[in-house]
Amino acid sequence: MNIPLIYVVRSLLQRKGSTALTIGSFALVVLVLIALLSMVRGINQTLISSGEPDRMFAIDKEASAENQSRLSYPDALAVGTYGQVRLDERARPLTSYELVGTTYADGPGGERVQVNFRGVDLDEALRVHNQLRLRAGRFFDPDAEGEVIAGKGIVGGLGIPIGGTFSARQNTWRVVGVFSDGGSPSESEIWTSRSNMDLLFDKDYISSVWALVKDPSLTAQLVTQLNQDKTLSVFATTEQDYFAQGAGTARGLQALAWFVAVIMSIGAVFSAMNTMYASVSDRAGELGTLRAIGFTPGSVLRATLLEALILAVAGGVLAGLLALALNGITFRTPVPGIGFVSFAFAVTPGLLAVGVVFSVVMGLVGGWVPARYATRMPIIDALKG
Amino acid sequence: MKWLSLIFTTLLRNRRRTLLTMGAVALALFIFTTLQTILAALSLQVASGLGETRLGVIEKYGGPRKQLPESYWAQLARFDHVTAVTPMDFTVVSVERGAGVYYIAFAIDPEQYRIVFASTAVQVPSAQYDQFIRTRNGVLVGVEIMQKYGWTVGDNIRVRSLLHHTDFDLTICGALESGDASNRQIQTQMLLNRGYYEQVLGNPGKSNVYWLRLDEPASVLPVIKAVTDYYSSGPNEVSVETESSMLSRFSAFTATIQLVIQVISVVVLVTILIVAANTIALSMRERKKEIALMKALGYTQERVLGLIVAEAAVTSLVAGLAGTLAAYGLFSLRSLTISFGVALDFKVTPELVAVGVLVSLALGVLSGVFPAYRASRVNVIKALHSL
Repeated sequence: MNIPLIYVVRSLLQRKGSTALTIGSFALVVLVLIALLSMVRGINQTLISSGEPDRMFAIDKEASAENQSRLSYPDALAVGTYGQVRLDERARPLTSYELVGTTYADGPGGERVQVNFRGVDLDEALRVHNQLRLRAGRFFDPDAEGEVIAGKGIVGGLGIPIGGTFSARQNTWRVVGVFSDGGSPSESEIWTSRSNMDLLFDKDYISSVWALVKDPSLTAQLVTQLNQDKTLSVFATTEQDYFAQGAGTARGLQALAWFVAVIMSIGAVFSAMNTMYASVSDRAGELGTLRAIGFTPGSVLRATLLEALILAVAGGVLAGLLALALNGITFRTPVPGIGFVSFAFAVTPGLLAVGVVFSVVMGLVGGWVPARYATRMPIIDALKG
Repeated sequence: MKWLSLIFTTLLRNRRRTLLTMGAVALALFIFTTLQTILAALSLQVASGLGETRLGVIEKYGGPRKQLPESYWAQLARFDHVTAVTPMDFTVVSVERGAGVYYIAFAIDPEQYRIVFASTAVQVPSAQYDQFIRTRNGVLVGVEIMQKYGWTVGDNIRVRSLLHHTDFDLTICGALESGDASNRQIQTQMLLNRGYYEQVLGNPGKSNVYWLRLDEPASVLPVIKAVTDYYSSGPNEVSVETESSMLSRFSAFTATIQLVIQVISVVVLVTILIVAANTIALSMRERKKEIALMKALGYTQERVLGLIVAEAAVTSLVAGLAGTLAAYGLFSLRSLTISFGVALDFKVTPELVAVGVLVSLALGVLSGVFPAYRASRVNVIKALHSL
């Protein structure tokens, strides 16, 4: 026969303070885990999942990032002549010549952020960056001086509405539109025409050439061929590989998350053990009576374990609720080779489940030893107490 | 003393609980110390004060990894408000082959360095520094390296530059010691005479960074503008940065991680505070009658409170010390990781151990106060009734 659930719940309510503190310690441990893992997931979503398998680009061989690259026109043209590059209906290669510069931008409220400017030919760029969508406003007019569109990741950081202006490089720039790009790092950039970059950035060369490949399976082949071509001075890479190089930070954070969570969980398990031991010895007489009137050791064990499990689940759920408050909060951090990128905490149902499972494991471990202890007390001694 | 033995007796009465609590506190302090160690290794402190009139000139697009021509040295010295210029090249050197231990060595002009980095140079005795200027293959070695290999001033050493696959035969002219905690990394670095460095490498005539010393802080902006404009059409465009923004280039990548680590440290401490307070509260519940008896015997409320808080403090202190020392033991296996110009030195400093001990003491007192206060106010009559 099982001990009724209500008995277990009431026993927890006997020591409200201690129950609350144990739930609290479980919740904090799980919260650290979920928060860090959701940060890792946010970084990965931007840097790994957002790369398209059929998109690649090439920069100057000597450069390690787009903003350091100075690519010659013949080399850029040569990329488009490779057979793997997709062609449009008029048999022109789908390539986009782009110019990237990094600078500080001052928002109207005095915020100063480091940002990548990308100069593009709008028609070319939109065909190659085919996830790019205008979210508000309009595209920049290539002939209008200082008109830009801003990625949705940077708009909040600079605090400028559409039509608003900000200054960078002693020039005033007007934001005429906001774009999204499938969650990729370019959402943290400012895009404008190449002629604007020439005029105001003093750069009359190109940094990179982006291209779409006919079929995702050909991307790696094209990249290898370009890198082996001795007549060109280019370094080609797939978009996915390029973004993923910034994911090292995420791996470090992930390791940190588990390191802290596992060690802290041992601490929380000790705390749970203390609480459960106290609960068991508090009720020694009670448990003895239960046994004396016919409850089996197994049912006493289950009841005690259940008590620990309730603590654990409550802690896990509380942590999940607190973590949900973090969901969507963005943070900006520089990524080696890419520049400042905005990320958002991504609290997914999967992560919440990880948290609850982690908490339940802590509860089981912390509850098992005291529960065994509860069943092993000789009935006579327990009743005497 | 008699109170101490009373405290220990009470603690030993429920050994299992005391051990579990101590385990939890020790683990928390272990993590705390580890996190703070990582944090200390990540944070590059900027020399304050004189650093305000120091500017670094680097290649505009490649940053300090690209090099600038040597001709810039004399040109930079001719700008208004610039009082001294030293080139600074850096390389990674090893002392024992294959030992996997690396140090950063900077090749500088000793005379100019003395003016540009006055606060560092002044830590070297004047006679030794003069000797460094006179000795072509002279080297100033960080004290921590000196101690590690048992070197003394005057020794001849050979180090290998990993970037050039070349050996340098050097004569130690003095030891580098940091004046304050802010530039501790200098103690694991070496300064070489640029003349000798260039000669060994076959006079490449390049420098990674030029450091300028200006006459006054007000000159910073005009000089940045003048230098940037001057080279805007040159073969190598430059970027002129203050020391702090230069260092922030390297530390910006870690800023988010640092913030995360700070937050986790706090959460770890709060968690363990809850755990410890919980234990004390449990113990108080069980000892209500005993405390009532103590009060009946004439113990004042303050004494009871003090005893319980002391109990919590002792537990936490012993456990915290164990956790901190465990981290100390783990990281005293000294390892150096290299990122540009900065040796990431994961080492638990004595200061950090002291912080750990203080934190655990505070933790103990804080966790004990509330439950102890409640227990010390126990109603003697009621509690004794149930005896």
